[in-house]
Amino acid sequence: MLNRLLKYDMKSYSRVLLPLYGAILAVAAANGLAWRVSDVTGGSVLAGILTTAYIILMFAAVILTVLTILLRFYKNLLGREGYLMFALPATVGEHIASKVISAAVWVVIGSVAGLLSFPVIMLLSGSIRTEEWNEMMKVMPYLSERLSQYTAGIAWGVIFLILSLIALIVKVYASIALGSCANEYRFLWSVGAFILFSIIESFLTAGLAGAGAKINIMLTGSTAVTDSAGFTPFMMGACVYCAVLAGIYWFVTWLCLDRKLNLE
Amino acid sequence: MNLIECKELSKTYGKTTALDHISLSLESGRIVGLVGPNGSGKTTLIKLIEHLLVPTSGEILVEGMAPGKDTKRLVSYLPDRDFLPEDMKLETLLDMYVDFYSDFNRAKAEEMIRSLGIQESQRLKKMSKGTREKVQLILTMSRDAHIYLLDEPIAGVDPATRDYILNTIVGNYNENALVLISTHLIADVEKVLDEVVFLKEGQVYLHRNADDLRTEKGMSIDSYFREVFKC
Repeated sequence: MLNRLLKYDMKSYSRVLLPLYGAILAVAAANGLAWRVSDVTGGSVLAGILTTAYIILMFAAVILTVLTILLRFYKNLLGREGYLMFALPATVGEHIASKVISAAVWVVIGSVAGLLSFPVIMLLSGSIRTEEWNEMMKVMPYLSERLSQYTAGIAWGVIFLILSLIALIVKVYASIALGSCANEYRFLWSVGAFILFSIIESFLTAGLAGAGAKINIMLTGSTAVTDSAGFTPFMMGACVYCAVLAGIYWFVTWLCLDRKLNLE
Repeated sequence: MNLIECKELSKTYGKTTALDHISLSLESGRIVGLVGPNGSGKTTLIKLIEHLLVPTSGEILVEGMAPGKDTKRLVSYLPDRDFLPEDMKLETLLDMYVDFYSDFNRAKAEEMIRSLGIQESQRLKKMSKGTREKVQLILTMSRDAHIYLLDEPIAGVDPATRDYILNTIVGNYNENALVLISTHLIADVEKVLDEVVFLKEGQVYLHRNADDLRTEKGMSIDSYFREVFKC
């Protein structure tokens, strides 16, 4: 059932976000080419317009991605479409999983599109010549060798990024789900819940970071975690913390949708 | 065989009691009218069967199981409102029903849709309210379900559409299934009913065979309803 739910969630996101991310790359390419032409012709009006369009698109992509994630969850599960979705032979956990996974995937896709747009502009505009780019790429093996001692830590770092993204998404969903339990002012209750979660989380994080620093001082005599021996356990600890947070928010969301469902 | 069993089932919303210790058994092969005035608990009972709500106390069983993922495979539910995604095309909706419900008969649904002159490529938001109601009903009745839950299927539509809806219900349900129709428009629906359940202030006032009730009271169910629930 999860695969089928994911199929429709991914499709729904793609209708809005795929053209947007495609436009970012297209405008980035046009922008790069415009700057290259302006170097030759001396006129930079078109390049300036395209740069402005690119910046606006980037902001719009961030805002639209966030809005799409919020609205997809609310409209599809807590609006009138909830009558369709919760009548499907799927568990509440599967519904939540589908929303979280699809949202996380599209955030990653959007981030990749945004990050890719920079080298696209630089390469096409001639800011970095192909020879310079090739020289930069030659440094990669040397960098890989230097960073190899941190491989485990970097891998955990990537897992941490993914887990923290998931924890953030589930926190948002938990806030929306809690707000939906109210009969009135649902939006305000959701915002209040998010703020409350964030405050509690910041106290927890500060407390755990302080405890971690004390442990590190006892073990190494320093608060630094820059050496490979300290970095990996630090990242592992951060991953566990994010996983626990995500689990708590997941439970809150599940509780609201399974036991306190209050459809429009 | 009892397809739906309620045992001392109660549901409260804060201080309001929507259902008050209901005990009810509904068998297969029947069309049952769940009737009562607004606020009597009809939609609450249907939502409990469909696991859109959980009981405050008591128990509800669907084919001997607590409502959940497994019972939703057996139950075809038509809510009392627009519930289909407006931006979706009808053909995508048909794909979705095929994907999620193994008992969905796409050919039957497409035939009924064609007979109404609706294009599958049309988005739901482009359809009139009456057409959307019909599409919702077609999708619901094209499943070969064990239980059909129809919450106010004829409310808010014109008389011609009401006849279409009732004919579609009677002409397309699985005869071994239970059809539970919640309504307060009894006059239109009573001709198709085998049994009737009156809900009054969250309690079962009566549960009788429709013909027996008409014979005993010497009047239509609609007239008896007006007598029982007169303000």
